[in-house]
Amino acid sequence: MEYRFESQGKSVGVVVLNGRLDLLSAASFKESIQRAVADGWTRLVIDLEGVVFVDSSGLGALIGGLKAARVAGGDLRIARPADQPKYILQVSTLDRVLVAYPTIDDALAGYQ
Amino acid sequence: MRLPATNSPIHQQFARFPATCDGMEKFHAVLDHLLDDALVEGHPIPTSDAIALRTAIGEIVGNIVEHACTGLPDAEVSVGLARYLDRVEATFEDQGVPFVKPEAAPLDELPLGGFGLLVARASLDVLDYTRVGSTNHWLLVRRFQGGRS
Repeated sequence: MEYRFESQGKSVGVVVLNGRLDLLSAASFKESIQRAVADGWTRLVIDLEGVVFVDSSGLGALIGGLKAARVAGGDLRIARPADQPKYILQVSTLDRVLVAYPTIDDALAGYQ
Repeated sequence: MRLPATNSPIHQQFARFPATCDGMEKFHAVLDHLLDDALVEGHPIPTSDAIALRTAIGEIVGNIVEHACTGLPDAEVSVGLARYLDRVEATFEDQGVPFVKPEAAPLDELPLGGFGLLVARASLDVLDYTRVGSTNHWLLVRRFQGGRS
């Protein structure tokens, strides 16, 4: 799993992920998100276009990031999920709390 | 529990891999091969079924590595994967601790875990667990639905 952070202005950031968000990578990803929130990036968009696989550990990391952002007064949104990430969000019913946006711009709308 | 065979598998493979994160990488490669459309010419697995299978199998393997075999450095997982015209069957065996069904927290509490079994069950026609002696046995079956996802 590779990820990079792109600042989009005050307290707004996009995290671009590539690879698999699973048992192997979830803990370090969650830690990075929590660190970003603690550093003031409280309104985040997670770009999932390059993520080929998400498991329940990855879902837990995304929920952990969402919780951290909301506690800090912000939010965490996901954008451009591919087929498998979209499937696991639907089948777990977590798409009710982690709403998927079709584009980065759609996810950023209202943040800036 | 075995389902009555309605036909013979068109492809079967067996593997053992360490019950570790590195072992999971190896297993994903085996799974990629099984689900590859080119494996059985003329009989591609419908996309929605391949996604559901990859998701469910990933959950069970992750559960074995994370929970059953944690602290057992030499633990291995034995895998049998069989592709039929109408379904995929997967079996897993390990000698880790017995599986204990986790309590699921309400979604509005934003639980950080407990999704794995829910996801696997919703993605499969059969999800069966038995403990025989010191061995955990899992059987997973998904019949191809085409559009279901």
